[in-house]
Amino acid sequence: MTLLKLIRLEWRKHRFARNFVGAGIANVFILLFIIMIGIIEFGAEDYPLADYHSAFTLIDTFVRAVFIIFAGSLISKLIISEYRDKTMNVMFTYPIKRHKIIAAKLMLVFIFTFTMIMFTDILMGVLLLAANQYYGFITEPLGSAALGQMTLKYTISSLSAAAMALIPLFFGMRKHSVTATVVSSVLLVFIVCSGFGGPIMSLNNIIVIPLTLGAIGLWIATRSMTRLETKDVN
Amino acid sequence: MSYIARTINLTKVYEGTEVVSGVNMNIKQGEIYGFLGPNGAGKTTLMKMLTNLVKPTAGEIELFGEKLNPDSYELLKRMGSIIEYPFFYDKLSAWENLDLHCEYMGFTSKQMIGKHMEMVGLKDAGKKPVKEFSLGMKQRLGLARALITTPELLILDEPINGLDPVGIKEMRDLFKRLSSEYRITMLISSHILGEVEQVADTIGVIRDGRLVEEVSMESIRGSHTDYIEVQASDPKKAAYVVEHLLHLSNYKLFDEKTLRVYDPGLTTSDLNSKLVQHGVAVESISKRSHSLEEHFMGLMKGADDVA
Repeated sequence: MTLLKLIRLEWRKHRFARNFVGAGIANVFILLFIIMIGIIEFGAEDYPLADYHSAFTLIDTFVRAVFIIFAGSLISKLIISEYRDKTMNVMFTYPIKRHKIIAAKLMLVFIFTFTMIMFTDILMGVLLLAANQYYGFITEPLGSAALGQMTLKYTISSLSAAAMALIPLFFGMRKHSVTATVVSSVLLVFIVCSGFGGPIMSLNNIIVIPLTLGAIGLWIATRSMTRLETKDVN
Repeated sequence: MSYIARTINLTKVYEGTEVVSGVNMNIKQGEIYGFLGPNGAGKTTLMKMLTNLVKPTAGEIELFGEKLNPDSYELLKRMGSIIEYPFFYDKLSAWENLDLHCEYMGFTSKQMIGKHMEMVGLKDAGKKPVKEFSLGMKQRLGLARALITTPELLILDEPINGLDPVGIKEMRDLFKRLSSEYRITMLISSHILGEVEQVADTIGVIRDGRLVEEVSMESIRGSHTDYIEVQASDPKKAAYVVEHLLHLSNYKLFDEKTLRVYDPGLTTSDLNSKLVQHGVAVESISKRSHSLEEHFMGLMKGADDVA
């Protein structure tokens, strides 16, 4: 049973395609929020859409916030609820290594989260540039170097966000609780995505922090795969 | 006689308590093994160890002649099981649940899905999500799922739980058919003796984690049937008569008034006349059948005064 096949079965089992609808709604929500900020804060001293750097950072911060919480709900659906509903008991009687079962679920969450963050970042960025053509709130010219730098920053940011989004798994598994998972993802967001709308000095800008948190997320994921291999199922 | 499953000194300790204690269980190929025990005796835990859900603290498990290790995943392919209660993906239909099960088990004959649904009486379940199933329907779907991959060993944890009398009979008939026609070996646990004694070939009784008896139904049926029960004011005197004058040793004294004699050849009238002859005041005398229920209830409760 290849990992790919397992991921496909997870997709079917949890009707994963519906999450794109949710992501779409999230996109609309993010867009409206950014527009709202753009209109309300216009003329303010620290207007976030005054230059490309702060505009892209604003977008990225908000997108990450939304999809880290989204990932928390995915972890709840794919892992925590299977334990709670005891379908995991059935899964573990199958001739498939347990860590592979868990790996498939985590990979699905990680890839989805990363892809959606990147996609939404880029989409919002494109919409921002288009809007700027009409309204011209950003006066500086957009150099290709700056653009390239932004893309790189987005990529690293998305990867570390998708990795740190796995941290709530640890809290959810303690009590097999959906609530604990989602709440811990919200708390995580407060830690790493605070400060948007105001000073664009969120913790995420100190590059060490997202990388460390991302590493912690990956460590938690790996640890859960090995630990669950031998843990009794009750 | 080959064994499909064996446990050797199997033990499981949870927080200092031995939930399963040195169990040596032997399940022969092709038989129905009735696993009897009161609630909390360790039946489910033992079954979880057989299906790799729980790792033993000590002892060994042998399945299909091979040792079961934490990574013996291939052996699991040859088993079907319902442990505790059949759990499903509630939002999906019966068909989708069975289809997923086949995929995970690596079983490709999808046409068996419809056939099995019909076999357990769920042909009309259609696209209904399992969430809307009654307990009985879920139980039957669970059985379909356990059977669909044509397992050699079927492990069922209290399969008739929640079924109505018709369902229970259907289940019983199905078990007998599976055993005789398809030669599937079954381990069925229950705390309902009446059901188990009707289908089982071998019965294993577990109490407080220990397997207190493992015996074939044939031998029990042979040796524990009729006895004559005598109520007398002085049963010890009656016992004396039985032992020394009738030369029978197979008897037992109960409380202060009762004597039971287990000799199949003895007639009530013979015993009565002998007792009266020797001055034993017989208050009542009757022939009884020692039901299996008494035998097993005794074992399950731990009473020692059962022959």
